[in-house]
Amino acid sequence: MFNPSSSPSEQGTRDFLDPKVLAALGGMPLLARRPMRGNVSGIHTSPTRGSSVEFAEYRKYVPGDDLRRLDWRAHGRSDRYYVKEYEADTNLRCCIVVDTSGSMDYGTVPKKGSKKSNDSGPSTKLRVPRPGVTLSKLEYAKQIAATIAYIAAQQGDAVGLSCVADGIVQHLPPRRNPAHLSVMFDTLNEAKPQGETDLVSVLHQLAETTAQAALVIVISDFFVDSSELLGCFEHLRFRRHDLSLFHLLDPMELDFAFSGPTRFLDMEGGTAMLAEPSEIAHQYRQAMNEYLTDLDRIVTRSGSDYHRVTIDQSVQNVLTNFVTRRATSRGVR
Amino acid sequence: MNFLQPWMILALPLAVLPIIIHLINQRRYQSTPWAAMQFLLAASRMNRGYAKIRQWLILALRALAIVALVFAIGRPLLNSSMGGAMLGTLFGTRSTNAIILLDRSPSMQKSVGDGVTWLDRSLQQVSATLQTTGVSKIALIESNHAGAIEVDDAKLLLTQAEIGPSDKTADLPGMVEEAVRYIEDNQLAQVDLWVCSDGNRSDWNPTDGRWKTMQQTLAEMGHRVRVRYLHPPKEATGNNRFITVDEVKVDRGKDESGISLSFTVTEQQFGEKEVPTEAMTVPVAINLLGTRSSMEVTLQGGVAQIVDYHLPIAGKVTQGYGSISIPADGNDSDNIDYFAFGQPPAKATVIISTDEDAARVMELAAGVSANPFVENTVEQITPQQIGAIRWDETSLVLWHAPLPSGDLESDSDAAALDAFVQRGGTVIFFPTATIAEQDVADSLFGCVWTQWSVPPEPDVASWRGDSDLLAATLSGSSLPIGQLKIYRNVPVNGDATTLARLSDDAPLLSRVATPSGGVYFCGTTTRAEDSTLAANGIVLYVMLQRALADGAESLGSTNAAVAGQVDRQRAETWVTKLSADERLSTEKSFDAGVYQYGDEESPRLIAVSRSAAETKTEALDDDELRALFAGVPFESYQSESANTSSLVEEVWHIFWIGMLLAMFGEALLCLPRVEAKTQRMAFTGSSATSTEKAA
Repeated sequence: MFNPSSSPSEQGTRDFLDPKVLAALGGMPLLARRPMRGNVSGIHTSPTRGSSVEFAEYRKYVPGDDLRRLDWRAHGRSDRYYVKEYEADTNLRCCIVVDTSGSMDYGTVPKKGSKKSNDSGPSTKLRVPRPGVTLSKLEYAKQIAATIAYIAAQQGDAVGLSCVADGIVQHLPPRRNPAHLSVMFDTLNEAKPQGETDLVSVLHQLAETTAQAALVIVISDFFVDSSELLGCFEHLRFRRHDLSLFHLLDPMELDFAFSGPTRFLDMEGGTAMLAEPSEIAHQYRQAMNEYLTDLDRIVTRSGSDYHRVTIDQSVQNVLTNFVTRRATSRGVR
Repeated sequence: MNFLQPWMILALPLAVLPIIIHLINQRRYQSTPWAAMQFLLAASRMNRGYAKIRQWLILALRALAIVALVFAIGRPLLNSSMGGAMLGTLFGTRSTNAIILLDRSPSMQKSVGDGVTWLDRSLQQVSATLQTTGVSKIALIESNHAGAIEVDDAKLLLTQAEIGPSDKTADLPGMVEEAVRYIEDNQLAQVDLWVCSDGNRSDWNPTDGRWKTMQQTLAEMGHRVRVRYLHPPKEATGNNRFITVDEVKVDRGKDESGISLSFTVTEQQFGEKEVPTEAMTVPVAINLLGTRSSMEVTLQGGVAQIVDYHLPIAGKVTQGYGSISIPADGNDSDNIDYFAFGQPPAKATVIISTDEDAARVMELAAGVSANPFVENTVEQITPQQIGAIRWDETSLVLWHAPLPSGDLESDSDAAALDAFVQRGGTVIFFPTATIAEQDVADSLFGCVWTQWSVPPEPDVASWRGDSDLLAATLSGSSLPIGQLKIYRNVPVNGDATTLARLSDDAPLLSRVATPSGGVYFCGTTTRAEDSTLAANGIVLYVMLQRALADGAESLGSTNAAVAGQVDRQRAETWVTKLSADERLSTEKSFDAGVYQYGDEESPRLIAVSRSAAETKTEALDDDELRALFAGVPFESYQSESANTSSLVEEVWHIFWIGMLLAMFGEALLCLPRVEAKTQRMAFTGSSATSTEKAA
């Protein structure tokens, strides 16, 4: 099994894994919200009846059924033969999709422990991304992805990873092998933000290629046309995947608290734009608000487990909230 | 609009400062990578309406604030009362010199409300205006005195001694001429010629020949001179009555003496109203030697003429004076008139002639008195008896003898005659039958006889019937001069005004201009072969009686004069006996009243009255005034009776308010939007509930 407390020399620069977070979340199961078809026994509900202790239903006896599962008491009461069925517990396939497009490199929140965090924190001064000093959305996504992968692997689930931008950049199919987790972390570690976002077609592609029902966790800023997202979300749901969305936003992307004329450089290679932020801040916030409202409507309609996260939030809180809510909403089919 | 500190206008380009700063700020942008470009582009697309307008509005308000600040410091001027025409022109080319022409004539004492006369109001307004605008040089030319009075400060205009009311008719052509001379002498560059007048036709005399000369001079000055004429307020309408003394005669009875006073009270209206035709009663107060009495006169058709109103005087009074007045009205200057009376002077005529026939006719014409209380005496002497003439008792000399030499030092006769004329006596020269050589060679009073000639037509071709010896009678009918036949004539040659002219343009009767007295040359005699002066005696009689009366005036104990027409220096020694108010000694000759002069033993009185022309209310209209100043920028301003302040006022406070409003508006537009906070809250709220929604 992968040891998170291994030295960095052994694991490379895996600073997206925080042992404290892992320790805090270690006792909390990551449950699927709908039945999963696993290969082995696990903690998740299976669509087939199994041998767990949890009663599921009565079924009429048909020849060939195991006589040990006959409920003699029911036969005594009704003079009919019933077979007592129990829920099957199985493992799940967790596919983590991390958006590694250029826009995910944006981040103005100072990293914890950064020496320059004091003078680069949220203030009236212009907050700009500073490599090494500020936390980017991708780095935050890596923390979430790695932690979820670790938890899933710990409970015996198969975990896979897809790094996507204008296509699938890296793809690791779900595996239960502990060594696979290490490969996955290495892949995350090497993921670099670049290219444009083509999240919609990538999710459509994943919906098609992922054969069995899986827990699909998409971690992205979703800076695409909101009207197109509904189609791919519904596609994933149609394929019986349990869809969870982590929508990462930098506080600056919500506040738009710039001052003075600013030249905005498109991080995905588009044209730059010179603007007076005070002049367009109102319209920007209006557009952002409309987009988020649309997204709320879409995720509600597609039944996705949606988490809007600003990257100044604690990863531990976000994930605690994530697994806790999943536990309470288990059984949704 | 103009400014007291026009150089501040140079700072107006500062108004573009906000725009320049804006553009510089646009250039000094900062670059930042940005992920959410789609929202930025959407915001940019949305930012095409109000936000753009708002941005331009902010820039415009900032520029406006600077413009208002510059204007306010520039001290802008705006006329307060004169209407829009003044705006663009009042200080279009700002002058640093101002010449004020002040019409002090009686018509200027028209009330414009609150007991203030137009004379005072117009000067107050000009003074206030000049204080506001500021000028470096101010000169006052008033209607009484020649020359310009330089005033250091516009405030001091109202403290000048020579700005009070006067009874003299103003000579506006002369005043403008004086102004032109002042401009030329001082080589002034830009001059505002402020004219404070009521446009009275008699004061302006638009037919005066001097106007044409001045127009040319002013036109040559181009736009150096700008005429600014102040119209009296239109509201200054109402009635005006004036009273004039026509004649005063001394009555002598057995038991009492007194005077007979003839006077006229006339009603007139300012403005366009017509004089009421219905009868109205006006009280008249008479002050005779300090004794006051009153009477009422009834005006019919606006006029009441009282003839020979008897006023008894206790005891034997040989000399006296008084005044007659009516209640106050729209113009107080013409509500009182003065008179003086005394013993009528003896009318003594001396005929110097060797021609008995001619002298006889003249003796008859001069000897018949028109006044039963006055005896006319005539004495005929020969040229050799000239030394025996009692010049001090003589009123008229009819010189029908060879002319004395013009040399006053060597010829005693000429010197005596000159002194006689200077004293006020009248002399009429007639040609002798044979013109002596010295009459042709030596000029007396600047004139010499020529030789006898026979005119082609015996009729008198033209004569002056408006004044002097041949003037028409008071009733308006002219003398029968056209019936005269002149068979022989000796034209006079010299500097003399021709009163009557023959068909060959030869002068028949000429008058030499003298400071006092009267000198006439008559080119024919009373002989039958020379003319029909004797046969048609009316002309000769009237002519000699008028000459006698004029000469006798200097011998009388009283006199009458029109304000402004007496020698100013002489008047300075006068003692005021009766006057509207005590004035400067230098102003006595311009003020109506009764004055005493001469030695104590035989004091003489003179009643000075205002000019009769001032009683006319006809004023020049704007076009006529413009025509008089053709070729010169001319602006006329209508005053308002309620306004006592300057014609212009500083309006800097409006621009301060404008600047504050602009800054306030700019601040309002720059306020951050409140709804931004609400939106931010919506984002976080959405984040917290999304999972539940999804579930």
